[in-house]
Amino acid sequence: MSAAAGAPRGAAPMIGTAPGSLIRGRQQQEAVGTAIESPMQKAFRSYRENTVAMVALVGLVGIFLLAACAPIVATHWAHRGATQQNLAGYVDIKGKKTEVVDLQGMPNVGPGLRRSYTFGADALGRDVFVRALVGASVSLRVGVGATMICIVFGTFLGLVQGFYGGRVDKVLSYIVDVMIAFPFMLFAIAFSAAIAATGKIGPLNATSIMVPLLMLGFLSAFGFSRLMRSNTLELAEKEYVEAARALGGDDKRIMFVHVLPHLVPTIITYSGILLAGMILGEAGLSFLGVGVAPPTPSWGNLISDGRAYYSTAWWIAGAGGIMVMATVLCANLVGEGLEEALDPKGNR
Amino acid sequence: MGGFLIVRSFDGIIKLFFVSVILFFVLVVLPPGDPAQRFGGKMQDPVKIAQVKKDFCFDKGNVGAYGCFMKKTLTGNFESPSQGNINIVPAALKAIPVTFGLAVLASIIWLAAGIFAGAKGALKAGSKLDRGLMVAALIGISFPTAWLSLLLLMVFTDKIPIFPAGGYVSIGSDGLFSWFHHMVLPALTLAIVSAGVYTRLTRTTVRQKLREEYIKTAEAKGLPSRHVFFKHVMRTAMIPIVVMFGMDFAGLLGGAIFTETIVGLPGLGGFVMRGMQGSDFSMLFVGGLIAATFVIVSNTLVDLVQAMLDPKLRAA
Repeated sequence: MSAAAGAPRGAAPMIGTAPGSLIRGRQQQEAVGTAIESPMQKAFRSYRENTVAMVALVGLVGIFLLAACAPIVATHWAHRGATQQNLAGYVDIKGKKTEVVDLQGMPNVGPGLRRSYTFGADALGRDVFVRALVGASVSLRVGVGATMICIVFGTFLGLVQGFYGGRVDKVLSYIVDVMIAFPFMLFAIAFSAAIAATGKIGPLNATSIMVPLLMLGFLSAFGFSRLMRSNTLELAEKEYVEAARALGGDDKRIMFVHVLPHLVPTIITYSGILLAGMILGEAGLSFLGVGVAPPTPSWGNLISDGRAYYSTAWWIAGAGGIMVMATVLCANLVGEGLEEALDPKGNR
Repeated sequence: MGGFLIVRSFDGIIKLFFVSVILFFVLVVLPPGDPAQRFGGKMQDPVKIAQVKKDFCFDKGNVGAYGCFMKKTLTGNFESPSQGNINIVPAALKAIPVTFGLAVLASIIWLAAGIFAGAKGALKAGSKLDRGLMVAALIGISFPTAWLSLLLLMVFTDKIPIFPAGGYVSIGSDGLFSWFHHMVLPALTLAIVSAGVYTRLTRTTVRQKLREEYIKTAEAKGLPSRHVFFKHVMRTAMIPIVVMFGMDFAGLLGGAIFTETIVGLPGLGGFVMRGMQGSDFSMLFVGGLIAATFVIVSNTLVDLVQAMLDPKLRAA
């Protein structure tokens, strides 16, 4: 800390300025650029020029494609379903017949370049590679669905709070505060225990992936609504809202036609970070046994399956863990790239 | 300050009331079927179920039952019918110091690492060191806690066996060192993920503060850079960090569930998990309420510390 702080006195005020390369790059473009860009085109260009964000986007799209390919891999490559057990089977490893699961019931086949068991086998002789890919489609469905619910519900809540203000805002803010004070994992556990005890609540089946999806989506929406509320509070005071009101626009119209579109950049920016959080959330819930119900594969379930064999058969939990990490890393980086490109806070 | 404290405590108590209502709703009202049977556990004896119904006042409607639940919790005598009417409050109270110790150790590690790395990165923004730190922080954030726990267990208890593979030793029974020895691994797991978050947060806020006019003024009037950094930059930069820390610390007290279940620590998270696995709803209710209390108390404390740190709020 002291190294930079103790720099020559004259240079000290410079410590706060942005990296020089960035400023120079922008000045050059302003000098050369003759075509007028729309804000959207500008954002697209800014994102395309961000190498890290582009790589992350390609990675994220790749993971989604892999998830989509899961059935093809299962039937044409590994010839093995995601939940198909193989307790007494054998695999050829370097010309030697090897049991998939040994006599002690330990997973015996590690990762290797072969058609079946590319990522090894788990304790029930299931193919970890196929499970990781099929699990990808489950985990991503939960993640994307929960993100959407969080965005729709959180935005609506924040919009109403920020727009109406006064008593409506006070009551809703209080509810949000209480819900945030509630430890999320505990709520999830209590809720799952309640569902598991009875088999179903309303139309929700206890084993449906809708249970973790709805839980993650709705419970994280309260935190997200705070952000939307503060943004709406700012927007509601703008001149164009006043103008719309003077022209006779009713509340509903002003809220959804004049305020909501201005929230979109912030929503897009946060969607990447939200998706990352939801993927981590699914992994956590499933690991505790309150998320996606086994034997349906998901990344969290893979980590959970590998828990008992963490040092001997590290590949089971490893497959789930690495997939989660790659997805979360890519989603976070895409989110950061979007933030830089769309710049909803007007920092640049 | 005194009035502020009273107002906030009162506010906290009301919030706690609402939280307990929600918990009661989720565990008792929401699921279909007879709550007495659910709380009674696996026993199907109609006589015993009738006893549970009477003990928990399920026959007096939801409001009556809620009153019963709160009376049981507040008097510290919550007998769990699915465990043969053992009072579970002492077990829950015994879990608190375990989780508290874990949370304190973990937060010391992550605050030290996160704030140091973040400040270093902000001062050398754009340098190789800064970029390296940010990549490391991002990787830390992206780890699923459960898997990180398993990885650390594999490396440090199996491949290089320098830490015990689990279990808990209290400071009182076996000394500080033994406690530390058992706690380092779970604390490290929690700290790695959070250190990433705090590195990024510190870097952003410190960079923001460095751009402020009053920093330039302080520099211009010839204050030593060290003084400017610690008294002017870090002091205000600490505010968002303290707010975030309060929330995270509270969350840890209620939710270090992964690490506690994997390493087998008898903390609050483990308590709630045992309740879940044995479908003992009494444990879920008591554990949930204690965790929520921590969150609310911690939020109130954060407000106070924030008021002390922020010159604007201090004057008010």
